[in-house]
Amino acid sequence: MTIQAASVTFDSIQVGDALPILEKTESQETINGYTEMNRREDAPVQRGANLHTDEGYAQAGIFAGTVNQGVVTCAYLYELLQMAFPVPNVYRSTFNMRALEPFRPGDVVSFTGKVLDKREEGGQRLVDVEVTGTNQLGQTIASAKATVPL
Amino acid sequence: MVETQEEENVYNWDVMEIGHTATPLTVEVTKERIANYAKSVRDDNPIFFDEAAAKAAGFDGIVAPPTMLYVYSPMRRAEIMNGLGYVSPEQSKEARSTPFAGTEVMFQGVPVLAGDTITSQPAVDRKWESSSGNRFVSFRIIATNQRGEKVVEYLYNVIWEYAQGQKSRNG
Repeated sequence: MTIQAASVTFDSIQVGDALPILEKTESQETINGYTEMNRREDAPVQRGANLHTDEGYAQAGIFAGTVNQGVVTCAYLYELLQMAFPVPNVYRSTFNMRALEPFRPGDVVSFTGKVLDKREEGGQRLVDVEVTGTNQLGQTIASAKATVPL
Repeated sequence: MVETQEEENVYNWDVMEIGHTATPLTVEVTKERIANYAKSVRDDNPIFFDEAAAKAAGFDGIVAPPTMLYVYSPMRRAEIMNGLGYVSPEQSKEARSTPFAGTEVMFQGVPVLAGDTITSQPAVDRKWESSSGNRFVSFRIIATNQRGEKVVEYLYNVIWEYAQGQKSRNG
């Protein structure tokens, strides 16, 4: 069964249930847009090389090209959580994520998840899930475990 | 290379100490900032744009997307280093990146809403070397709202240096 935020309950969840599927792409424009749209007016002047928006620097760097901001990949993993659980519950969650491969412009990444466990602990009903992002080459680009009180 | 770094005073593994920190930062979370953030990660959930939708979802007003935490309470590694009189590796003449490696987020059940004012402070929390020789650094950021309530605590991990000859992100 695929769990959905609008109908999920602790009792209805089964270990092994799937989360919905979320697909995301990046382009250099979307990567630049994240930086531009979230810039603080009072932030110190940015100096130095940028792995995300400085294409010349990134080309010579460890990924041989620009990559998205890792925290944006986190946003996609959280969006998937929000599709499966009400946002007020997500605001009580814990989340542990590891970046494994870069998310490059032109990549298409599918974010999927499954329920690992459900348990009662300290008076709370908790659901443990694993969420991952897989690119068009079949590489896992990021993996996270989250615990959501329900 | 070493001479250049010394001339520039580049922050490095040996001078890095647990607890190195930057001055606190206060950010006002406005409706406009929330909308900009949601658009920038292409999340069109109406609770991030529309007050009625947010209230229907159980919030008192427009709510910030959870991962906006990286914007209203940023990690600010360069500010930690600059405040100590160093430039960051990214800022050095021989610029190199210290890429994102992972994160651990602990929300506190206190949603961040439009109109909130968030104060945060980052600090070097841990540094370690993996079995393959890659060096990692973890920054801990704690953010509180205008009522003094902790809204989130998170760790932001970076690959500080790759083991010689290694380019993989895997530790």
